[in-house]
Amino acid sequence: MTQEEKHSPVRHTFDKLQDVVGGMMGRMSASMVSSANQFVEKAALSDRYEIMAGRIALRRTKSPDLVMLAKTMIADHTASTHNLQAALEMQETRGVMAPPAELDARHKTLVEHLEAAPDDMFDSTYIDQQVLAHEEALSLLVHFRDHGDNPQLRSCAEAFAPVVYRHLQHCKALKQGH
Amino acid sequence: MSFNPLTERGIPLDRQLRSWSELNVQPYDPDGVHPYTRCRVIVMNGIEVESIMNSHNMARHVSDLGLKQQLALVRRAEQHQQRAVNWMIPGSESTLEVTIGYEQVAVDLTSWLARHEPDPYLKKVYEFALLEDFDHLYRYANLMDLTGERRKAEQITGDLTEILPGRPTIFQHRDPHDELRRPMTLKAAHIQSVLNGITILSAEQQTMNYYMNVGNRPTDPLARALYLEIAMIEEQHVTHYESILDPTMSWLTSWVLHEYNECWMYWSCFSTETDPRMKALWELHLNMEIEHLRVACECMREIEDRDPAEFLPERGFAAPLTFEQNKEYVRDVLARTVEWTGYDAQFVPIQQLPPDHRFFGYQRVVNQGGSPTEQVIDQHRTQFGSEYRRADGAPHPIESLRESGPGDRFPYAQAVANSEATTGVRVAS
Repeated sequence: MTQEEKHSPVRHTFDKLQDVVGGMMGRMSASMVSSANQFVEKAALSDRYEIMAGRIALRRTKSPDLVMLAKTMIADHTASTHNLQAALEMQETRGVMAPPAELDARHKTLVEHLEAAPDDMFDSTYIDQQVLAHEEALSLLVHFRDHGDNPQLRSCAEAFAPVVYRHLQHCKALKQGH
Repeated sequence: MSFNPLTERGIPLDRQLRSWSELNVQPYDPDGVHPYTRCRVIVMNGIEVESIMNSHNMARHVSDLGLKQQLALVRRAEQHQQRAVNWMIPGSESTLEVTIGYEQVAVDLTSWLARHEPDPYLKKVYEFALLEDFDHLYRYANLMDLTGERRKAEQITGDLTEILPGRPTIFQHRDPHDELRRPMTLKAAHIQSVLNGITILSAEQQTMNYYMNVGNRPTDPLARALYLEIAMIEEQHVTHYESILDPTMSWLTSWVLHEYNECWMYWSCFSTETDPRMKALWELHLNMEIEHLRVACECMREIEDRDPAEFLPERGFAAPLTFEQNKEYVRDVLARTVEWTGYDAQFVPIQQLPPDHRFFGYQRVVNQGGSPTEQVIDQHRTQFGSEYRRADGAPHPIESLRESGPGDRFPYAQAVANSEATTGVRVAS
């Protein structure tokens, strides 16, 4: 995205507001997921968004803390993606739908807002999105771990919930520092 | 043919202790023993070690004195069983001869488990490590030939298992993250998957322990180096296999399952053994294990208020595990998957890894200065003009792994070269 294509500070404020509202709705809907198909869809979208956002951050941020954060997000959410794919190869998940091939509209918007953030506002945008995205992911994992309808996918949620919890704590600490 | 240990009566615990002279059994005849009888002895030693260590670890995590007492009683009987089994291996078999036996176990045990694994992902888990152990057999067989032992490897394996390169050991060294697989769940997995998992973990763990204990005994630097390199892969395999077991099981569930698995394994040995003296030992131990299982199940009912029938099948074991030839199967797995590597919980062809993947960084560190598993083949070629291989006549299914094949066209070699060209960092020494 060229400098001209990036959003103005006013437009950026609206973008952030939209991210917050979307995050709240996402979190609410994630905290009610108990069907395997819905879990796979949301977990896969969450991982895919994290990897894409991490790659954008590696390209745009100059903060060593955020470079480290982005690398961790890419590695951990790649591992989560691989775990989910492995789970879907198992007999225990026979009949569960494959994850979507592309991001949904809400996550695409998050990525667009991240790309369009003015240079001097990129870091705060990335961290704010990270807090929102991890709150949503944690709600999804904890609820499905306790109430999900597929034991194998509940086991996936149980494995990754502590990792996402630590991510969230780390992002919140970084947000306070920025 | 089926067997249900839950409906059988075993030997009461207070009649299971044996004297030193009973335990100091007459070893098998190293020249007359059937290769698969040796395999059964090796694997059952590993099964007992895992059971004993699981019991020790459990005892360290429970405060209930009554439970600790039951664990100690059963564990003592298991210790006796392990001695009777392990002392079957004669002192006249060299460390390297026994090593060949361990690797034959790894190849033919893993093959059977893979062929009988109902879960498609777990089947991949077995096939993945199978090709690595298959390669270890070939490397040790070359060492054996070099060291001038009285027998060649094929006399140990009885030509029941081919001796050829698998996924070359030099390429088996991976970042620890890439050994962690997706676990099954006790709630949803097939009981055969659970038994398979405990069995292979026990065997690989015993192999790791054996190499770590005997690997420093040779005086030949190449032999010492070979053991230490391969022992590292055995640790990777322990990590790989323990990660497929359900990590949320209670200690009592784990105890019951270990006893159930021991019943299956002793019943398998008893059902398939050709040596009458060994068959009698397997039968004795099966009858002991039936009682161990009863005690563990009783503890679970009393302490957790749970019935093991929740997760143990009503009809018992469907079929015994069998040591048998798997030559065609191994060749098929080689042809399909030799270029696979681990990437987190997934298996992917090596060509799919990005050139800057952690695999290449790990390879750079550990293979700096050369790999003993390559050096042993080079030395055999130098000394004898060729490698030690035993095959039934058909060429190796992978052209680049044939003795005069184009090694640089092997997918791993190409991936390393591509990584070096892309990143500018040298991986191979």
